[in-house]
Amino acid sequence: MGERSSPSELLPGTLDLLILRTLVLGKMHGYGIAQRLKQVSDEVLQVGESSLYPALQRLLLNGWVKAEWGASESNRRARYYTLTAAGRKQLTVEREQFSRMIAAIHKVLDMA
Amino acid sequence: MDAHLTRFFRKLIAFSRRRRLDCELAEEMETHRVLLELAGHPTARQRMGNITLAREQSRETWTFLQLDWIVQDARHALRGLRRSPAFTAIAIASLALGIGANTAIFSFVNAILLKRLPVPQPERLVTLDEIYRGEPAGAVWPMRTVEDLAKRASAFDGIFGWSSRPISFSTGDTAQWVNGEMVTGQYFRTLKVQPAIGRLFDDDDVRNAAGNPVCVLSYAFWQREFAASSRVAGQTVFLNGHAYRVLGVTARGFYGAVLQRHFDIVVPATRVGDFMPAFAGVDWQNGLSWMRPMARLKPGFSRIQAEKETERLAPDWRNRQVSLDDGSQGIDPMRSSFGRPLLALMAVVALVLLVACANLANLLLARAQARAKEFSVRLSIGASRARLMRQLLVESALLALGGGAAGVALAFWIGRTLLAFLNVGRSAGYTLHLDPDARVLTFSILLSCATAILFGWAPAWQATQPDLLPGLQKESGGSGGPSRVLLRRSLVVIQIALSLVIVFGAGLLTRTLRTLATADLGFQPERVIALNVDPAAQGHSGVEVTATLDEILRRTRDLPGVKAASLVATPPNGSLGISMSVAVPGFVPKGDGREMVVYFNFISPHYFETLGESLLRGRDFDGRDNKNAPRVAIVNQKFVRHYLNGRDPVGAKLVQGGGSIEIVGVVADARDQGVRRGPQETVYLPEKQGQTSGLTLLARTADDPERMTPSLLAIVHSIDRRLPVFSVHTLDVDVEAGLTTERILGYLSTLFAALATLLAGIGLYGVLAYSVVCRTREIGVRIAVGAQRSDVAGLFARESLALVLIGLVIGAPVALICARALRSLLFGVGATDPWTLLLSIVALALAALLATSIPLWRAARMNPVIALRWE
Repeated sequence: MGERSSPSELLPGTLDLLILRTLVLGKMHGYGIAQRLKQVSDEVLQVGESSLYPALQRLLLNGWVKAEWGASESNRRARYYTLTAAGRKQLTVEREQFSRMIAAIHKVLDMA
Repeated sequence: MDAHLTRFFRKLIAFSRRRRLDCELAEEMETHRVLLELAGHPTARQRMGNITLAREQSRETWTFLQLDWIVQDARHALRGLRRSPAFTAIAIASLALGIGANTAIFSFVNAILLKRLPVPQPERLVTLDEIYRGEPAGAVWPMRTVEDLAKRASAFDGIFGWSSRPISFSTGDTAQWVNGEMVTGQYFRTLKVQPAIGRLFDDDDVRNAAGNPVCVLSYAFWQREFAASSRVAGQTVFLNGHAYRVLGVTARGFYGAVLQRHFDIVVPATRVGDFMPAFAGVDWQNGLSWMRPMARLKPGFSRIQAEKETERLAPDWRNRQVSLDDGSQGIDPMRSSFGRPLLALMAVVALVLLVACANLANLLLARAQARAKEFSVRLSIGASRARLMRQLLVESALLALGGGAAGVALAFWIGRTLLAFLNVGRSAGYTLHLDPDARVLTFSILLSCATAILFGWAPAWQATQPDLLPGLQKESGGSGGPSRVLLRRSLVVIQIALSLVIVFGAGLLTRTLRTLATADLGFQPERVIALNVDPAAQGHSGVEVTATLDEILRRTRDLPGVKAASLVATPPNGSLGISMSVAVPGFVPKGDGREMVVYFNFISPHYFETLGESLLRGRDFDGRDNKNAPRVAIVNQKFVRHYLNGRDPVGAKLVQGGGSIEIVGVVADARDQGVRRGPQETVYLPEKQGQTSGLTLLARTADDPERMTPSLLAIVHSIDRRLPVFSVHTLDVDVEAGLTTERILGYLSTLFAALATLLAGIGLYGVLAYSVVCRTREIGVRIAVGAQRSDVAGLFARESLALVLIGLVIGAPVALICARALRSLLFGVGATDPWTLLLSIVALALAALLATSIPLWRAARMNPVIALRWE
């Protein structure tokens, strides 16, 4: 028996793409992003917080998202993330790359 | 690339606010937790997983990881260095000496070979030279030629003629000599100099200067003499006794058209009569060539185009070829005379630094061996080799930076000392602009980094070699493996070889200095005072000048303590020799007739007596040889040999300037134009029958010349209080000054040779001492089973001998090859002189013997009982 990946483990690099895609819908805080990913993927994608927050920092550093503080539903301060123009462009790029990758994987899987 | 930069700046900003960012991140994640709980996840804290890890990882996104590690390594290295202060001190001191010497010499290279005039676009400046015998030589033109070109040439953005002259400057009672420049109208325009105060003169001012004399001051002179007064423009000053109006002050930082000098006052060339009265009545415009031309090339014109145009516009140059040369260093740069000695010194100090690096590498290797166990442990528990090497290299870098910083401070001091040395006996205006600029600082920083890599790389590589077992097994550090010993031995061999190269070079330069300093000059410069006094500089006319000088000479001779005195146009080692063409009836010149140009000097009676030269035949000049008497001459031996082959010189005739001169005496040869040059064919004429101004008074004193100087000055001032006396010194100072370059080269190279030998000795000592320690147990066993102490000593003596021999065998041919580069600097000794080589080898062998003896003695004296117990 080989070691198996846990079900929610993502292909490397996909998390950034998913976050960017989620933020197309509007500004969101970290918890909101995680919840949305879970809902949309029918609970398949459960993003651990320990990978979510480093990913968000990475996006901030690259200038693809920007953050501002606002009130959350719990009456606590929460950091809201918005997509920047550069982020939008990056999303297109990564999306294309991802599609190519999936197509390639399919080709391999479907070979006769 | 752009994205990288943006990220870098974001990181920088984040770094400055890292505490706030940390708090924000913590708050954000806490919100996340609360929201999770609100949504009904009771195990929220568990689910959050390792919060600290998440925060660490988030933070890492923003940090400069490498920077962090380097800071860590540096701290670690600092701790280590502090623990071994002796090692650190030796390392930093030897590096400081090496880098300091290199930086100091480089700052001279910078000032003399690399710096350019501090004016806009100096690279477009050109000097106009003439091709003479295939080589460009500094041209000297009549003023009219410069002005014609200024009017008609289209290739230049300004062209000017330049000449320098000491000027007697006064605002009231007393006068002083200052550095003057006489220039034509486009001087400031060509150099693009701006005024700090008032305005600078132009073509019109120079043209009208005859009726309206004006001058411009340098910034430094204005600060010094006028206390930076803003009302200086319009003020009247007296130059050589003539009233001049100050027009303005040049911008700060501008110091004239010569890189290594500085001017005080600029005057229009049309006023030359005030400053060179000796040649009064000469046609300044056309007749005499006295100006050095310099120009600025117009953008879009090449040097060749400008050369063509210059030749075309000058009608009397049918057979002359103009050459436009780099003028970015101004007129007469020191490049030509100091370039070679400087590069030789630069090579020597570079070699010394190499020896120091080898020494440090050796020390570091020994240090790494002491830490071999630590490294083995760290390697075995998974530290990467790169990580350990980086740590060791950071340690080297710290040492190099420490040494570099100390070196730069040292360099400043060395530079000052050297400059003082260089200016010994030089009367006026030699200024080296030595202040460390960006280029010098960059040089020393790069040099420090290079040394760190040079001496740090090999030890780091060796120390981290992943052969774990020896390091872990050995209790007290073994010999450290054969490759390590080999490396240390090769370093010592390199040191000895390099030292031999330096010692040999120093030996050659020192012998050169000795030969020159002890050469028979043919005259006695000791206790002869020279002082420059020119009555014409105070506006006296020709007859007055003669009368004044005669009176000064008469009173000087009457002074008790003065044995002899005379006047001379060119004193020994004087900078301005006079050469004129001469014909000798019966002598047929070979080739182009150039051979017939010989040196002339104008002297008063008793000149040879004053200098201690011996008159071999005939008579000295006397009071009868005046303007109205028949022209007479005294020649030296060399002249007789060359031109009067076998004939009786006394009574023979010379033809000069259309007149016949009778030779009345022959004087012995003297090296009075620099020791290195040797005697030249010279004709002496009575000053009364030639030059009447620009003379130097020479007085031979019975005892200390210093004590006679005030009386001599008193004589001059009792005749005319306002006569400025210029450059009072004894002749031996002049002779000394003539050997400055040789002296600096000789002393410095000897000093560096000693330093290199010392370092090599320390290296040899280190290797042997270490070898003795490592083989302590072996020595014990040998002695216990009956070996003689001399056998034990022989063991190490052989090791030492082998290292030294290999070093010398490698070093000798390298030294002989390198010495070739010194050839042009040597005098009286060949570049492959076997005696010097032998002496150098003996000197190094002695040093090696000394370095060997201490460990040898320790080995031989070792107590076998203690040695056997040695762990």
